[in-house]
Amino acid sequence: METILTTALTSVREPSEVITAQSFDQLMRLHQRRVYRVIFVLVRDDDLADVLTQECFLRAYQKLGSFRGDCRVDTWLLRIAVNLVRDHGKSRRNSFWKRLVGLEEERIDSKFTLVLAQPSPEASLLAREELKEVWKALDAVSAQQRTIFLLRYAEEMSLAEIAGVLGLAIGSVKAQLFRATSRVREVLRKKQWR
Amino acid sequence: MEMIRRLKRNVPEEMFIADDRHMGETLRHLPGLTRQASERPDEYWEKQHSAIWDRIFSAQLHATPASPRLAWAGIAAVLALAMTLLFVGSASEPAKQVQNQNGSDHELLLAVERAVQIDGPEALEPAALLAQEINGNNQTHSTDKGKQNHED
Repeated sequence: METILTTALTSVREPSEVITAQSFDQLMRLHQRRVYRVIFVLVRDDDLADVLTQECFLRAYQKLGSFRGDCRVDTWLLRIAVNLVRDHGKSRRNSFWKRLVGLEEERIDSKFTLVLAQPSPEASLLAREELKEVWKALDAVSAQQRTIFLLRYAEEMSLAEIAGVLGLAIGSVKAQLFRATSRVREVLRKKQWR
Repeated sequence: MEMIRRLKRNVPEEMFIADDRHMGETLRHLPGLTRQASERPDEYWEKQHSAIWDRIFSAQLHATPASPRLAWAGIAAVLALAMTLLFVGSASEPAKQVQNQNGSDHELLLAVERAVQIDGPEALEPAALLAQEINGNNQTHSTDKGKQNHED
């Protein structure tokens, strides 16, 4: 069955084919939410996620000529997005965690409270506590390990996908993920959380 | 050293799978939470979509204020002008310098002669004689030339 997704993907996979403004518009509509979500989970800031999503598609449009079709379009887009987040993180290295743990804690909590309104209040509370602890624990790992960790457990991406997005070997992704999970678990254990 | 690095890099498969599964189970709420936390109304996406196109058009507009051909033509024109000015300037300068030098020499001689004729000091007598002699030569040259011209 031919879907918009497959049409768009095949049209961009062929490097010889000219990507028109219309096909790029389709791609944007298809991947806009996911790109935003990944950026959002990495930066934890609505406005910044919005700005970086716009920047991501702008760069993608400008780099259309260099896309050789050797990976999926969404992988390519997410690679641009993750690079943008990384570049942004270099200039504002600590702001994300300050917002997450400190100043904007209430803001994050309110989001999760809204989200967890459906399950029972106890489950909601527990999940929120778990998440807060995990986010705090992630402070102990490197930026790349954090990205891998979040792509894996928040975005449920496969190791191969993560490797494609970050331009790493699967073995390296696996090793860094293992280190990140060990560190997170260690921090959580110290807090006698689990 | 390299062996330790390899061991660190190569996590045993079973250990990794168990660890990954356990963490996935621990964080089972995370995907749903992030999805719902990043959900926005349709208007938001439309607005963002328009903003992206605005930025694309704006970037294109700023990236190409003039076509590359026009830019190169401008550069070439400026270079040509600079070269012309350089050559014209360097060619006319020596001639001007010679003219100026001749003119100033003649004026100096006249000034010395005038000063001596008026009432010059004794020390300037050799200079006055020299000036007279040069002037005399110039006059004979010019009269010779004049004769030649008349003969022509």
